[in-house]
Amino acid sequence: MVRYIFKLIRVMHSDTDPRQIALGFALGMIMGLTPLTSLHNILVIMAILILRTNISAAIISWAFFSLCAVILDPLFHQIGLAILVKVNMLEGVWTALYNAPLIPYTRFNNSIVMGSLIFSLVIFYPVYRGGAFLVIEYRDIFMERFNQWKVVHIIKASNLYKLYSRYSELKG
Amino acid sequence: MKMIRWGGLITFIVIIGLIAAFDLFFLDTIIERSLERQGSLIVGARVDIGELDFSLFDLHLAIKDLQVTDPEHPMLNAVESGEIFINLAAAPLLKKKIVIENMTVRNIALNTPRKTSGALPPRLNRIRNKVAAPEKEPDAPASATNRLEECSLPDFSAVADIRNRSPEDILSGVKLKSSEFLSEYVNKVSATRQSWKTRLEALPTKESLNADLKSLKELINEKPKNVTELPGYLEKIKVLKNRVQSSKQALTAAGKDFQSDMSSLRESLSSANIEKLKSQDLSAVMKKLDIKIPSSEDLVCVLVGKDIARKITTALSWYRKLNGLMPAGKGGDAAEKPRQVPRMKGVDVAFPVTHGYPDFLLEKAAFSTRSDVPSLPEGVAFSKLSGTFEGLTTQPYLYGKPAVFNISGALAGGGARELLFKGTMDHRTEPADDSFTLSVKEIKIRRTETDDSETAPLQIASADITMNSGLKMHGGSIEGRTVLTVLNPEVAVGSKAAAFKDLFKNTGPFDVFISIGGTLEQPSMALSSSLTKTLKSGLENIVREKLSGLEKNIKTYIATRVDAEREKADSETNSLEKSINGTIAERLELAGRILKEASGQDTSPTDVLKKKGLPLPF
Repeated sequence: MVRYIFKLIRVMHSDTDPRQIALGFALGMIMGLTPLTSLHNILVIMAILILRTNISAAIISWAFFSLCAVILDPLFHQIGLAILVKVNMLEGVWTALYNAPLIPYTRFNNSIVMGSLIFSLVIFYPVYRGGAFLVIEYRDIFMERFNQWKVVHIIKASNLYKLYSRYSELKG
Repeated sequence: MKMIRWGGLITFIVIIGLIAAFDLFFLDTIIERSLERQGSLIVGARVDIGELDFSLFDLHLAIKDLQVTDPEHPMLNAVESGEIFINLAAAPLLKKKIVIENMTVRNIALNTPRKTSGALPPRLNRIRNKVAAPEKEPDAPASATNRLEECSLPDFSAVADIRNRSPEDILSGVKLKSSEFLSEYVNKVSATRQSWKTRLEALPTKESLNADLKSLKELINEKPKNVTELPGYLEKIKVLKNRVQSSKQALTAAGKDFQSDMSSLRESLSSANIEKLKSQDLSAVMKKLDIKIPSSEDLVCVLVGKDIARKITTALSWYRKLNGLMPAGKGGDAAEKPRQVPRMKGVDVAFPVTHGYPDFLLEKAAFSTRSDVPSLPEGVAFSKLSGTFEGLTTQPYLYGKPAVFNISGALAGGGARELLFKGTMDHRTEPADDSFTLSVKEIKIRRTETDDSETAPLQIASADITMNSGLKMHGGSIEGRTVLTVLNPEVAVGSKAAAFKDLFKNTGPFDVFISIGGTLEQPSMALSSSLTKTLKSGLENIVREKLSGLEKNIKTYIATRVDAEREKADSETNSLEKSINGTIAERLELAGRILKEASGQDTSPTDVLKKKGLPLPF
């Protein structure tokens, strides 16, 4: 995980497109908030690997939102149950999906899978846009200040960082 | 910016390939663990699979050495099977539906011993308690008397210990009603004596009557000086006479009242009354000894009814489990399952299956048992058993056919010549309509001396039993009947029922009828038997014989104690009667004498004038 944090810092300080970082972060969020073993996460992983997203951002985002999911599960359950049970007009859709081939394996009828997926899809675009905006803002305003922080100097002077930098250089 | 990262695509394919390869290599283990876990959660005890082989290409599953633990007895397997072959339908699997086209189960054995405990591990137990919908509790617990499987013999052997005790010991500290009555009676006599003493003091006394007599005599001797004093003289005599007359009347009335009191006292002390009280005392003492006498129904229940009732209860509990898995009508398609949500698990909402296959369907299963399983004391071993099961499904309305099973076989070692078990479970519509018939011919019971004859009060040591049982379930209500015909019975009598040994010496053939009713949640069973009539008179004789000596001794002791007290009461009564009657009689006699003397006197003025020689005024 430390490796990915360093990688993300490097990417933030590089010329990488902020949208790639933001997209990685947003896709990682879906993986983090929804149960990992759900079938839709294969599509998310495929998107992270195939699209030019930042994988470090996706992994850090996944780790961060997995922790959030532990707290948010009861909320997801309520959302999912409401969508699956209380929205009458959707009952036909769910029944059709329930009887369709392969779809039942997605576990869409599980309250937490449904609730967390809906929640993460709703906040996907704001997270993506907000992430891109924050990367740009960071680079414009904070990057110089950040480099001047004593903590950063200490980290950069540390053997661990030197070792990592050397490893990264050797790896190319 | 190039959108596609081809390296990423290759990585993705490699990752998916690796996952698929892992699943293929470990698919058998994954399915095995999953089946064991799910099975254990359903049964409530461990379900173990020895070996599992799944062929993905022809969807063929082979399971070896399946053991399903009996939840009530963790060291026993309720069912054990050597081999199970399952052919799954491919198309329904795409819709996440498990349809078993045919299943063959071989080498089934029931009630086999386990090497290790099959109790549910604590972790699974916690999950089961959290996830499983709580089983519906019976509306009200069946009363103990209605629970045939809990019938027992009262401890009649206690009579022998009681008989060894002396009546003094048995009656020590016992308050006899007759004694209490006599003690109260003596107090009542004392109180009566006291009240009569007071009353006698208020009545004309011997002294006052003597004074009247003296006054009368003085008047007789006295002469009026002249005629003018005559009316006054006569008036004095009259007043005196009236006073004595009223005294006599008061004394007579008192005498009558006393006789009334005495007859009331004597009536309460009548022999009939005392005998009645003594009889009540005897009953109370016998009741206090708490000698429990078993009924003939109790004896039959302990002999055969209890075992059958337990087996019926076990069968009903398994039926309840099965019933929960195949709900009647569309009831199983509730949009929301009201249950506790385990953390990070959520709730699987079931939607109606509109077409195609049910979520689970076992179209046809054929099974057979193995014959080399040694019979356990509580177990059943079959020399041959085979049968079919069709249409077992979680959504019977969707399958459109009732579940049907048909089993036939025989018990090992000639234990039963023929066994037939048939049933239909029609859960297509609500309420469910199920019927079962079980017929077992010539169950041979041959118990050895080493069996639990010491712990069991009564058990059939040897008999040939034929059983016919029929059960119908309509919705939640049950209606059924089990008939046992017991031929050539020999009954082993344990120490607890030793007193009834003679009763079962020459027991002839008999029938036992168990009728089953009530609801699935609260079934009730009632027993009747031709043996109860046979046992009844013999039982009465035994009870009478055992209790007669004891009852007689207690009766004699009560009589001795009470009769002494009664003598004392009688003597007190006589003494009172003599004393009060004597006093009243003495006073009455005196009053009578005064009046007699007074009546001898002339009361007309002319007679007095003549007798006294008084000078006439004219």
